[in-house]
Amino acid sequence: MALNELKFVIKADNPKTINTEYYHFGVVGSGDMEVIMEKKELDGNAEVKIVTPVRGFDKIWELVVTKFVKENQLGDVFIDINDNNATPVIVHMRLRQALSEINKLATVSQKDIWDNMQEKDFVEATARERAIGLVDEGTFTELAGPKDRISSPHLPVLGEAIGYDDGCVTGVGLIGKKPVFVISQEGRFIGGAVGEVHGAKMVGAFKLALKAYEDIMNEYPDSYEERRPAVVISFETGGVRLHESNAGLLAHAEVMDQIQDCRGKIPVFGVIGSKVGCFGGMGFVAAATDVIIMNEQGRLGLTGPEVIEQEMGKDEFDASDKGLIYRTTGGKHKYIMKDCNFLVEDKVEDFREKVQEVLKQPFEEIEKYRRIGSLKLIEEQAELVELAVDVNPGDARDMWKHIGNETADELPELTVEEFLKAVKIR
Amino acid sequence: MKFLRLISISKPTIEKEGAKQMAHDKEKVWNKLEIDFKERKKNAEHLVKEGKIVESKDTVALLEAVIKTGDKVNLEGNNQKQADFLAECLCKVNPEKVNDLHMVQSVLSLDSHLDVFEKGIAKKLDYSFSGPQAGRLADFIKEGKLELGAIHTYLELFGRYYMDLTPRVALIAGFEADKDGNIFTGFNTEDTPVIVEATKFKQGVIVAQVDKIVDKVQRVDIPADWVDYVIESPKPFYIEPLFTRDPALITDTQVLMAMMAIKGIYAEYGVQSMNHGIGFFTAAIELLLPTYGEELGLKGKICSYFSLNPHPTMIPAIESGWVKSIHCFGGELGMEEYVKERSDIFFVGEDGSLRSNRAFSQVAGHYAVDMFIGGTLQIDKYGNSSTATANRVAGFGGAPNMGCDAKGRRHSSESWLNCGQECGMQEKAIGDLPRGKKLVVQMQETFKEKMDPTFVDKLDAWKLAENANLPIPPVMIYSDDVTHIVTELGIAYVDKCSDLNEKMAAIRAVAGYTEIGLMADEKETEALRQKGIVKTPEDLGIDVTKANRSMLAAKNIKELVKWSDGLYNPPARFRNW
Repeated sequence: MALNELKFVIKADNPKTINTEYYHFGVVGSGDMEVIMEKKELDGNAEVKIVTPVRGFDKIWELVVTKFVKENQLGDVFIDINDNNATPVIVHMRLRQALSEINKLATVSQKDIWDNMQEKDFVEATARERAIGLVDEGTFTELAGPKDRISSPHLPVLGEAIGYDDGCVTGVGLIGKKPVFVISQEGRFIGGAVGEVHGAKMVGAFKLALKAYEDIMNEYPDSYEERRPAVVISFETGGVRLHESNAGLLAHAEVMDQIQDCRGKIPVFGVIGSKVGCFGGMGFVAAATDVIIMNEQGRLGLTGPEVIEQEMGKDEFDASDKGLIYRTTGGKHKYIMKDCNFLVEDKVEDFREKVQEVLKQPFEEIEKYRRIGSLKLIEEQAELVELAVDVNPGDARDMWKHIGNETADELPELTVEEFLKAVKIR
Repeated sequence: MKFLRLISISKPTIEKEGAKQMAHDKEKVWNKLEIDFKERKKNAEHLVKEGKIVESKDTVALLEAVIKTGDKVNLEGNNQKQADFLAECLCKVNPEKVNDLHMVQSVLSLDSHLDVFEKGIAKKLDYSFSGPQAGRLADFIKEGKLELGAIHTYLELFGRYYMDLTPRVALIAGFEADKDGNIFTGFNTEDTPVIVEATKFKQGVIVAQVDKIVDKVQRVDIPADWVDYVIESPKPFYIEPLFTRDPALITDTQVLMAMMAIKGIYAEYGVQSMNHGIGFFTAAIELLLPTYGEELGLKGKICSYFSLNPHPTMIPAIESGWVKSIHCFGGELGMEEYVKERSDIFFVGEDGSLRSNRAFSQVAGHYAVDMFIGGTLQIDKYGNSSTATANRVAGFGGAPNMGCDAKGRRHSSESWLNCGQECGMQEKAIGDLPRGKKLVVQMQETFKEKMDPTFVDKLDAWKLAENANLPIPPVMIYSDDVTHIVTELGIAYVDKCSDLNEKMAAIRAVAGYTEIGLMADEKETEALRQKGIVKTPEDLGIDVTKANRSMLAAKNIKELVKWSDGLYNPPARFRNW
């Protein structure tokens, strides 16, 4: 079952190395791969290492990477690939794209790259793009990133593809003077599910944030407010990774613990707007944050639609009815029900600006955005349960109408701007 | 006297013979079909309420009254629209009263379409396409539950409705009917006219299920004279949204291949009229027109006329002013309002609703388009392409009619002439006469999911022919019709090849790391590139690193709605909001 590891040493004519020490590219999604290219003294050879769940195609791998190395005349470079069923042509294309990005480094400024990211649709952005784009330009430093090559110890045993970030990008950047610790989950890697390493990285980011808080309090006793750190989690996950469920579950508990430790010290943001949404145990974790920002594509819940349909039947929940899914778990509904605090447009920039805007508010005000965690809020939630019994909604629209949205049917159709103007929330 | 006697004797004899002959002529009936038709109508007389209306609860009795054992029956199963209520009722007729039916229908897509064989009501089948029932159909053939006549293309089958497969009874579907029998089929007219005309004018019986019986139909698509019975079905007929492709699922590779097709084929030949397949490749092409196409300055030079269903992914190109006209085979769920508001582009009645017509659109797709482009599942080393798998008898639909050179075409166009001029085998066939050629483009990634190669030595169609006792392997598009093959690696301009050997080399050159591609000879490929028979993205001047989803004019369904100014109303399963 173990993963298939291949190694090739290739000699090109007139080889030259790449013009950066290290470059990482790609995501280990289904049918895709990541690659690290590194300068390394190898007697002019290129060394290629591949870890893949696929067997029986070793010869083709050799042909593809040999072709790539030879046509680009690469030498003294180490090419490190984690693959998950990418076809040979995808492999070739990704390698070329990585090299092209490397070659662009000399001419394209970091500012251009960051500007581009701001313009990106949040829902399409990778975890790494989101992490870099959620903080000020040029300030993001990735911690425990692909360079450190920390991958799941459990997946290889099961013959499942690994990734050098384990589907979780962690690091720190700045928004103004505030250090912002970012945790960004990658839905393309096993649906963003939380395994041991993934979870440990989340916890690690929190620990660093809390330490930064202590350090800043000590170092800037008079002006710590403007430097108060924050944690931003960009959720994209279905919760526990079943391949390593015990470790994954434990990680959930530990993250919850960290969020509690942050109370009264640093604000914790949840931003939800990626394809997979935020479900399973991570739905609980999101609920425990101080502020939740969503776009309308974002989804937040506990049990996924397919599981509800499977357990309760199609009459209860038709998982093929995407409109129903979004009306039940999507950003607009969560905003109406006050399960999220802000609804924004779908650009990375919109999310970053909202985090920035909230961070300008006094910490005490930010804490008021919490949706659970006080007696008053518990009472409110209990009233909601009663309300649900009274209204007995067959669809979220019944609830929207009950709250006073006469034209409930039209709400999903509105743009975010129109929606925010028209909507009545509970 | 003797003479006279002779005469007198012989005369009555002659008269007798003549009378016999005349009596025989009187017995020769030339309107048996009409008599039979009237008999059937009489059998069902008691079921008719007002005008031609029969209540839905009496449908099974009606079918038992008007259908006779051994009849050829057309059950309207189209690519999209399904006479599903009549199909279910047909399954409920008593097989002892009605059996041995010969079903002639273009599409088998509902369970009931095969249940009718399982129940012993129908025996023989002639059809065209069987998408979702393809696996079960193969089993039925193997188990002898069904005798297969032939698998056709749409036009072929429609043609046979007027030759040797004329239905005795047709069970059709529409949106509205009045009590006289006028029917509104509107957006999803599809196959109805061609079926009704063949049946009715050969004294057959037409039974229609409609969603609603109204005082006055929105528009008459099928006139009352041609219809015998109308039934308001308990629920609206089923329509399959077959042509909706969510842009969110288009991959970077598909974007790359779409860019190659636009630059290397559409622009190269100046293709103005075409049909697009239903896959993601052509969806990507449609969504690249307002971005990449615009960048290349191609607006007005390509893609003005289409024989095509109302693909939602066409919206951005239409809105950006690329398209002059689209004629549709059928409708597409959710596009009703959009089409209504774009009557300059679509064929729309005065009532504002689309008039689709599969037969006419197929004719346009065969004779009037310069290009057919679409995906496939397998291409063999010779360039024959097939969507057949070993255990599914999926049939053809309309692709082979559009995906072949129209040998009867006599009008010329820039693209048609360009392709004919460079055709490497034409002179061998007809000498030095100038003649054009339709572009038939097959797009396919070299591997499907799970490293399943798409270029193969022998098509799975061979195995299917064996498994389902078919006389020939079902091939979608034969190699002599294919002019271009597009893969992630490049375009093979197989039309330019001067013989089959050269064509095979061109195919190997774009077949990548498949078993076929690995046999490519580097020098041979290089020579083909020199000749312009094979072009890589570099040869075409396409920056591979730019090939990604950000090029798409719409990246998801919601953006299509935005482009349509809210007129496109996608079905529930596609609404991500």
